[in-house]
Amino acid sequence: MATVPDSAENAVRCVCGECPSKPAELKSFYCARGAGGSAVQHRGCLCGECPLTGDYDLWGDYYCESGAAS
Amino acid sequence: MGDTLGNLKDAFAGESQANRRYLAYAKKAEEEGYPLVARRFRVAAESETIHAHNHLRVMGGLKSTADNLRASIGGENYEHVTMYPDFIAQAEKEGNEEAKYSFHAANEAEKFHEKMFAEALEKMEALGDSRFYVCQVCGMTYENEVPEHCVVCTAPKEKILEVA
Ligand code: SF4
Ligand code: SF4
Ligand SMILES: [Fe+2]
Ligand SMILES: [Fe+2]
Repeated sequence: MATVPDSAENAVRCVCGECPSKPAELKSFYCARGAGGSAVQHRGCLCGECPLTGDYDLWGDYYCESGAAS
Repeated sequence: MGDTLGNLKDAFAGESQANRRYLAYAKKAEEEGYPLVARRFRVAAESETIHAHNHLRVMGGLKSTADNLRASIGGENYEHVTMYPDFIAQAEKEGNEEAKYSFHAANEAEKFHEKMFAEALEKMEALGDSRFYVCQVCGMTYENEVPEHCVVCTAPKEKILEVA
C-alpha cells in the first residue's frame, strides 16, 4: 500500500464528495489529506468503489475517520 | 463618526456583508423547512445589494470596465499572494482545520479569478465566448470544462453549475 499524492489528477477522481458518510466540511480526499475534523456517521464508505483504491493498492476505508493511507 | 467618504465605505462594507449573511440565512431557513422566512431574508438581501451599489457609486468606486478589471486583478492577486497564504499559515498554527480549508478553497479560486480578469482586460473586445462554472460547495471556478469531481472539495460534477 502506497501513500496517495495530493494531486489535482487524483483529487478529481476521489468519490468522497458523493459519500453519505462524508462529514459536512470542505476538507475531503481523506486518504491523501488525512482525517476530517468532525465525527463520522458510518453510513457506508465509497472508497472500495474509488478508482484510486486500485491505483494505489489501498485496502482501508473510512479515511475521513482514521486518517491518511500510509 | 468619520467623514462622509469614510461613512460611505463603512456603509458599503456593512450592506455588502448583510447581503451575503441574509442569503446564507435564507439557505439555512430553506434547509430547516421555513421557505417563507427564507423569502424574507432574500427580500432584505436584494434591498441591501441595491444600497451597497448606490453607496459604491456615490463614493466613486465605479470606474470604466477596464479600470474595474484592473482593480479586480489587484484585489484577487493580493488575496492569493498575500492574504490567504497568511491566513492559512495562521489557521495551521492554531490547528483550526475548518478555517484552513475555508481559506484554501477561496485561495484556489482567487488564482483562477485573477487569470480570468487578466485575460478579459488583455482581450476586451476580442474576448472568447467561454463558459464558466462555479462549485456550489467551495466556490472553485472552471472554464469550459468541468471535472468529474471538484478538484478542491471533491463535490460531484452535478454541484458545479454554469453561471450565465
Ligand atoms: S473516506 Fe470513505 S467514508 Fe469517508 S468520506 Fe471518503 S468515501 Fe466516505
Ligand atoms: S480512496 Fe476514498 S478517500 Fe481516497 S480518493 Fe478514493 S474515495 Fe477519496
Ligand atoms: Fe475572487
Ligand atoms: Fe468544490
